[in-house]
Amino acid sequence: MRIPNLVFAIAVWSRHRDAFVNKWGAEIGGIILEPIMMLGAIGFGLGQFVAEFEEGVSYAEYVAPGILAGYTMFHALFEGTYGAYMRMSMQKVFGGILATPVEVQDLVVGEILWGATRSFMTSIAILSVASILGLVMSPWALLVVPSGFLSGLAFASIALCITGVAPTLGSLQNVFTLFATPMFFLSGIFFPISSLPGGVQIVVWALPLTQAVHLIRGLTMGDVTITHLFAAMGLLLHILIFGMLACVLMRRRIVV
Amino acid sequence: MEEIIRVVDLEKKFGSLVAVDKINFQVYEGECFGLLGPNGAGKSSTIKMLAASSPINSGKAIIDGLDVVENPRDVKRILGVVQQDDNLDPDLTVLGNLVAYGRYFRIPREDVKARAEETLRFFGLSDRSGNRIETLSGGMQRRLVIARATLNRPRLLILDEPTTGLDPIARQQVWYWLQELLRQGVSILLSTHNMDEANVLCDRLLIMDHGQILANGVARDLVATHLAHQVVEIRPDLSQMDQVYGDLKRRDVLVRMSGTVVLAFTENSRELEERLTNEGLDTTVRSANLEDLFFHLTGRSLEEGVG
Repeated sequence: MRIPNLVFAIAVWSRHRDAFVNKWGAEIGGIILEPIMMLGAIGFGLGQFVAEFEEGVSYAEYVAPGILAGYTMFHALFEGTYGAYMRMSMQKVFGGILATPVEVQDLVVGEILWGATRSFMTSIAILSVASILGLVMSPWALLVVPSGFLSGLAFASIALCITGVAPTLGSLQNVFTLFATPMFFLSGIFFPISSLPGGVQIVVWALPLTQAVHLIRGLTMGDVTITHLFAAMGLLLHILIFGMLACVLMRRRIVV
Repeated sequence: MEEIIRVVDLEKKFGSLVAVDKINFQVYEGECFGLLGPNGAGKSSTIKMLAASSPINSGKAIIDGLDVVENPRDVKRILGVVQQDDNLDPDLTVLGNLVAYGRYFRIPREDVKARAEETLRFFGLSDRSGNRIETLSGGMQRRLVIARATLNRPRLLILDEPTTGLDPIARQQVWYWLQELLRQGVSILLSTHNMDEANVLCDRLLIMDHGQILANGVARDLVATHLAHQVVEIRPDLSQMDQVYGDLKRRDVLVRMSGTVVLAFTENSRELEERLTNEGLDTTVRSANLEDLFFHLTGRSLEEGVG
């Protein structure tokens, strides 16, 4: 195992930041508008048909933190699959970076940090919108943004593993149709996991999105227990395992 | 002279294909050393191993006293690498490309921008500093790739076919900048399948084919050792080709057919030319060159690729 050097990883992260700053106008609309539409349609549209959800909790209040967690997943996955794959195979940016003292493991960590930064940005955007709409109920919500970053680290690590083995750009679509979208619907964003069959519940709790949703919902609702610490530790475990695996898979792919 | 590169029994395999077959050579500080060979000869594989971007199957590569396998980071710190792909960063400006590179080399933050601007000035790209990469011509992009590779003030510049795909004018500009860098004392290793490039730039070179070294030394000496100094080019009617070829061969002249031209290598080129002209053949004399040598060693031309 080659140990990543954080200084070089941050150099890679800085490159992504500069690239984003150069084209932010093209992306900022999606970052802000999409979650607003989602919150509006699901929280208030669908929410009208859902009676008071738990005691004193409206459906919009229930679903908003879940959507936020879901978007941290989508942003990190997208950046770590399509974004990284393009930089690697089409733009040849990785080739240029690796000709410098930056090594593959630094590059991978830089990519993961950047994917998580995208989650961080969407967390800020959605939390702001949700606060304005009055859907945030606790000062614990200040921890939502770092939690979104944590969730982003987990999903970016998974994404980089996939990029390390994906045969084509088009095959990355499977990540979303077979993995992310089903998880988006099953991880307790729209309905409580307790309404699933018992065996399925165990599987669903092992999913990183379930852990992210549980953690972030606890923070916005101010209902923080030891289970939320477990959820954070679950995400951390995903980061460690998939982060290391991503370094190995990407080295195998790039260094031939 | 100090060695900047020492390659010992260097080998690269892709499955059962031997791309580089246990080669040995040295490059000395301040010189320009060429790897000349057709596509698929093993030049790029050699270069990638030396640039620490491709694993070495066996043997050793030492750069400035450092083992490439053991110290990839330290080796890459003193290298400037120009890869065959145009891999400028399309999401960044011209200046942004250099600034990002400066960070990869850990050039202190307060120095990066000044260093980048100085580099752009040296390469005559200052006025394009804020432009996007896609707005540059192919020649300018290549110049920027070379500029980027010098940002860390490398001791050794490694270039994989630096002028492939460029028009003749852009090619000559690249040669100019490389000669400037040589003058400043940078050592250069470059691969090429262009004979003129090797002639213009390289102090010494080796000729590669099928992963092996066929010849290694100063171009002029290699040509003189393996071949005559001069070549008589004969352009007979197509119907006469075989006859002319056969006649020369019987007279023990080193002779070769190349397209519609018969090439004869001899020390007495004037004499041969006179005789052939008297026989009514269209004949010219020129100096023997690396292309002739390559053909002599492999039976193929440099542009043909792997046969």
